[in-house]
Amino acid sequence: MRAIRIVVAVTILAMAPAGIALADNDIGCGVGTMIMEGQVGPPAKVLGSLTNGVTFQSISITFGLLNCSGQGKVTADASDIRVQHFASQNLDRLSVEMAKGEGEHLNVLASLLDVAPAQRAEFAQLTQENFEQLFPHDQVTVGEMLSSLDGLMTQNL
Amino acid sequence: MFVGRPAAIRRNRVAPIHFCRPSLAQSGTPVFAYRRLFAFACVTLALAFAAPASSDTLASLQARALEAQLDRDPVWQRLLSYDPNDVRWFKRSSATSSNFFLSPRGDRDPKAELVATLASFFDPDAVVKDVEHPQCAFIARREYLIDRLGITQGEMPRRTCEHYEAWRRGLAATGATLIYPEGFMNNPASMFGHTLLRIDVEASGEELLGYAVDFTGDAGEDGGLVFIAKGILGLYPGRFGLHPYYQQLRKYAEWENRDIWEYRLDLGEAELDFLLMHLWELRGIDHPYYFFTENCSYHLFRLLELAKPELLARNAMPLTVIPVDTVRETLAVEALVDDIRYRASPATKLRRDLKEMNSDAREIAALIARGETAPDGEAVAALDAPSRARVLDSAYEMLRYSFVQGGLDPSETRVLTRRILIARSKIKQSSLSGSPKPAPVAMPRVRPDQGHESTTARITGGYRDDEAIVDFRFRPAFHGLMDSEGGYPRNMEIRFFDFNLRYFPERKSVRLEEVTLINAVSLSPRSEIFKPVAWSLLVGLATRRVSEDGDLKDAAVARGDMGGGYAYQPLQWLHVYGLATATIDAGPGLSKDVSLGPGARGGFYLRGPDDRFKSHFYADFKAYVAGDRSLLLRAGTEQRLTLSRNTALILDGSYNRTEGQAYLQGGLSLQLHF
Repeated sequence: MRAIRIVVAVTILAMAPAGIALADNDIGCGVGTMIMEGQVGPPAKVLGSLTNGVTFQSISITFGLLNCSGQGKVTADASDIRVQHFASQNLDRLSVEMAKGEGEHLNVLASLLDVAPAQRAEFAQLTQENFEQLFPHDQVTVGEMLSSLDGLMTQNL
Repeated sequence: MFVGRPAAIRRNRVAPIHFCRPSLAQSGTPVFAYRRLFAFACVTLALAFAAPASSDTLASLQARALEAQLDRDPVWQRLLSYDPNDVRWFKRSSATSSNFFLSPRGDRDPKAELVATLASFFDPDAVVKDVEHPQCAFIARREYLIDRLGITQGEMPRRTCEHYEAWRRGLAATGATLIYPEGFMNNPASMFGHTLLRIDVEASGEELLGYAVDFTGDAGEDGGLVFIAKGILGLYPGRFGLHPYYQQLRKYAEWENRDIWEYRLDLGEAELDFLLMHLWELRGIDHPYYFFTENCSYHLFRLLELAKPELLARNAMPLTVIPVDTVRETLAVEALVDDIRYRASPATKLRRDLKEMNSDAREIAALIARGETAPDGEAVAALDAPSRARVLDSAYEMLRYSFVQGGLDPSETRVLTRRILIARSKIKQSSLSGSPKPAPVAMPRVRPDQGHESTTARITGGYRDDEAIVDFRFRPAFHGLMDSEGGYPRNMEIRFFDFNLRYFPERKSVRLEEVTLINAVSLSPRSEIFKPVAWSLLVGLATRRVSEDGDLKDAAVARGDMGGGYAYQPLQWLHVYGLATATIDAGPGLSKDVSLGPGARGGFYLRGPDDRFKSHFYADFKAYVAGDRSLLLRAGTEQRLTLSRNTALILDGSYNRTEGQAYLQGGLSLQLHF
C-alpha cells in the first residue's frame, strides 16, 4: 500500500494538470547519475540569486538521462521510482554515509526500501562492509549501485 | 475555458431568504414590507424544497453570498489572489492565468467571480483545465463557501474529487514547517534569504521525505542586467511548485552551502487541509514575479495567512517583502511556531570540523583533498581511528566543496572520491565506539529572525572641515558591515536606496549628500579551502568636493564604483581586507563632466566579544586619471557600540585630502533599525 501511495504521489506531482513542477525540471529519475555530478559553480550565481526565488535556467542541473516513466528500472516494483529518484538526487551523500556506516540519508533510503527500524543499523553496517561491491569502479551509476544493494539485501537481511 | 451560467441576481435580492432561514441571517438585510415578505417567503420556501439543486437554489445561494458581502471578505479575495489592501481603483488579482477564473471579469471583480463560482458548482458539464469539475479545481473555494453559507448536502451535492483525494493520500501530510535558507558566502544578495514550506509526512526523523512548497519564477535563459530589470518590473511569470524536500535541500545545502532554519508550525488539521486545498487550486497558475514586492516570500506568506486566521488578522504585508520579515511575522503569532531547528550546511560543518582539528591533521586532510597524499597511505595510517575518520571526512568535504565551486575535472575527482571513501569504509563503527562522535553544529547564538530589523535610520551630529553638520540617513534595506552582526551572514553588506540628507546649521542649508542606489560588498575571508574573491559594487549619487577659487565646494555626481581583492581572518576577532577599485563619476559640477580612474581600498575590522562593539580602520584612495583629474585620499575609522538589538552608537572620523587641500571630518551617530 505504501509503495502505491508513494508512486501515486510522485506520478500526480509529475503529471498533474498544468503540472506542479516548474522550470526546474529535475524530476527525472536519473538512474544514470554518478557520484560527483554536483552543479559546478557559475559566476552568474552572484546575480542569479538576487532574490533566490527565480530559477536560473543556465545553472539548473538536469540529471535526467532517463525520466521516471519507466526506463532503467532496477526491478518491476512500483516503489522503485521513489527509491531511484531519492538515490539519484542524493547519491553523493549516500556514498559518504555508506562509507561511514551511518547517516540521515542512508536511514531514509533504508525506509524507502522498507527496512524495519530495528534493522536499520544492520543495513547501514552492511553497506559499509560491502562498500567496494556497491561502488566497484568510479563510473558506477545509481542503477548499478541499487542493483548491487538489492542483491546484498537479499543475501543478508 | 469554462463557460459559466451567470445568475440573474436582482429579482431574488429580497429578504425572504433570510426570513425563512434565520440561522443564516447575515448583515445588511434590506427593509421590505412584512406582508409581501411573508407571501414571497412561503412561495420561495415551497419551491426550494420542491426543486433541489435547481436554478432557484443556486440563485438563493448567490443572493445569500452577496448579502453576506463575501466578495469583500479578505479570505475570499485572497482565494482569488487579490490583495485586500490594494486600494487602487483598477484592483486586479495577481493571477494571470485565465483558467483561474470562472467569470470573464473574475480577475477584476471578486463579486462576479463569487457569483460565477457558485454557478459553476451547479453546472454538471463544467470542466476546468480539461480535467476537473470546478468543485474540485476550486476545492478551497468550495470549502469556504460551504462553511460561510452553511450549504447543506441537499442544497448542493458534493462531487467526489478523485485527483485531489489521490494527491492527498500520496502526500500523507501531517503538518507544515516554514523553511528559511540563509544567505551564502560571497553573495550579498542572498542575505535576503528565501522561504519555502515543507509539508511534513507521517514518518518522523525522515523529514527529507517531506514536500517543499515554494513560489519561484521562470527567468528562462536571461542573465545580468536584463534579468535584474525584468525581475524588478515583474516580467517573469511565477508559479507554486511542489518538489520532494530532499531535492530542494540539496540545492540549498549541498550546492549553495546555505544554513537552513526550520520553524515548525502548529497547524490544526482543518487549517492544513485548507492550505493544501488552496495549493491544489494554485497548480499551474501564473503570477508575475516581482523581486522586491510579490516575490517568493510574499506568495508563500499569503498561503500561510489563508491557513491561519490569526496571521491574516495581523494584515502585516508591507510594501516590500523581505523573506526574514515574513518569518518574524509568523513568529509574532503566539504559539504558531512550536519548534525551531538549525541545519548547518556542509561548508559550515567543514569549517567547524577543521577548527577542531590540530594543524597536522588539517594539513593531511588538505593534501588528501588535493590528491597529493594517498587516503590509505602512511600519513593517514599513522593516526588513530577517530582522527583518521575525521581527516578522511574533512578531506571528502573539501574535495566536494572545491568540485562544486568549479575548476576540477569530474572523472579525476570521481576517482579520488572513491579512494577516500573506500579508505573511510575500512574504519568500522566498532573502532570508533570509544571516542565521542562529532556533535552536530550548534545553533548560532542569534537566529535570523532575531537579527536587527530591516529598515535603518541614523542621525549624526558632527563636523566637516571646521563646519558643523547634521546628517539624516534612511535606508529601507538591508544590512551594513558596521551593523550588529547577529542573525546575518558575516562579512557582507547590501544596501538599497540609502539616503543621506545633510544639514549645515551655520549656513542653514540642506543638501542631498548621498543616495546609494545599491552597495553590495562581500569580504569573505580566504582560508586553505575557501578561496573567495572579495568584491564590491556601488551605484548611486555621491558628493565630490571640487576646488573652486581655492575653496572646496560640494558637487553632486553620479557614481559607479567596483572593486575586487582579498580578505583574511587571521584571528577570530581580526578581519583584514584589500581591494583594487575603479570609479567613475559624472556630473555637471565637474569641469569635464566626467571623472574616472583606478584606486585602492583596504583596512581591518576588530570584533568585540558577543558583538558588543566593532571597529573599522580604513584607507581609501582614488586616482581620477581621465576626465576631471584628481586625487582623493581618505583614511579613517568607525566605531560601533551596540546598545540593543536595534540601536547602536557610532563614532566616526576621517582625514581627507583632495585637490591639494586636507580636512578632517567626524561625527557621533545614533542608529535605529525598525
